[in-house]
Amino acid sequence: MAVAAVAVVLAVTAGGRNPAAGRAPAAGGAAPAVGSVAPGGSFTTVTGRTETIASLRGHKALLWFVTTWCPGCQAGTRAMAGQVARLRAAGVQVVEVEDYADLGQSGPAMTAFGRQFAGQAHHDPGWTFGTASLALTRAYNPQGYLDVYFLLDSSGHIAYINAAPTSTMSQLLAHAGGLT
Amino acid sequence: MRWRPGEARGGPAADLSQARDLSGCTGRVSLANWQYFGPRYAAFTAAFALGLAWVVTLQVHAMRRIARTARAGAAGPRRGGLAGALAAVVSLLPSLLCCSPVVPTLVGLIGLPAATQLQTTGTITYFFATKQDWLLGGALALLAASGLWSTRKLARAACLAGDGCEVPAARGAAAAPAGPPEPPGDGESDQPAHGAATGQRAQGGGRRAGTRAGVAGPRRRASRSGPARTHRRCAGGGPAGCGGPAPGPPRWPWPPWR
Repeated sequence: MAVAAVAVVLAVTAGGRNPAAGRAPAAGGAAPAVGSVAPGGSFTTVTGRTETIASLRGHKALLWFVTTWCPGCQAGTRAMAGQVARLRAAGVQVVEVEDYADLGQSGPAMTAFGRQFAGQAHHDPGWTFGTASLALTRAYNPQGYLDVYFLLDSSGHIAYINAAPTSTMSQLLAHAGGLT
Repeated sequence: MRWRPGEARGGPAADLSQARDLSGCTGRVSLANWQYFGPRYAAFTAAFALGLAWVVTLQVHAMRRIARTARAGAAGPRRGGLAGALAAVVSLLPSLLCCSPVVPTLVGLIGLPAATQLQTTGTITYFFATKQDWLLGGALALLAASGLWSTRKLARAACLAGDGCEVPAARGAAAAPAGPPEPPGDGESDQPAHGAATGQRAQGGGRRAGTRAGVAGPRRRASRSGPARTHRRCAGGGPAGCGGPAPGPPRWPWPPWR
């Protein structure tokens, strides 16, 4: 049983490489691909403002979907707190949004989550916390992964997709540094 | 609210830059996952490793004892090992089903509507994310129970299966009082089976026969202490009892007065 479970993980992770540069924005159940125009949608910041993905255009941005009850997301937020200044220096705005309704589960509010796990960096001007609308969650994370991020260039295209900044911070920083 | 703030732990590693479905973006088996290896996981890993080493040692010891006494075959008391294996599987569940693409992918394959898919994925992963401590603790408890069970069985049983029992001849002879000889393999009779108590390799019928042989008749008192008691437990193995796969005539030093 354990072997079968590990085999499933390996099969799933090995089968996930689907080069999709230059494709059109995703529709239906597919997530957007690298090179595609970032799908639109809105999110509500912890200060109550409603922002749109379109409003990010003209800036480099990291759009990061988390659930507040996810241990990996909590660790990722801690890791991001140590690197957000570097991202801001690279001109990248970090937008960390909670998946719509925390994927239907009860977790802390995004305000408390950010305060607890980001610490002082919670107030960093280069870091925005918010909650994604259902449409935004469906557009970027239709399968409900717990910890996925999208690096958007200033023209509003998706330049890089990955997950779990705790594990992938070096790749994230490298791609952010090369972002236009 | 079910969520409890605590130390962040667990989670996926990823290394995929281009994906249309995000299954490759999360839960990658990677050395990068060491980033999540905090004190809590380290403590669990150490405890689980010790427990597993204990259980495996017991199992190996048991199998060697069986191999010494068995004529053929190697069926043994593997229930302890089974519980240990179950504990290992349980210990994998939190990280596999909370923080890997397994659940989202499987839920996606079902073809549920988008909102239901998100809800279902969230429900399952939430369970494993928030019940990690219970699951890991349960795995440790299962492992400990498995080790204790194996230890108890090893300490109390002179034989471990129906493959055969090794009873020291000297002890067996000392424990066997004088008495009339009985037909070999007479496990179903009401008479005690001396051969099982005194032979190097006990012979006789199944559990019922062996038990009756050990406690019935004038040697009941003797059977409750020392080697005879050992024999009584010994006789409890499988269809062939301690006698091995096929009952046969008792070996030397049978009969005891010879």
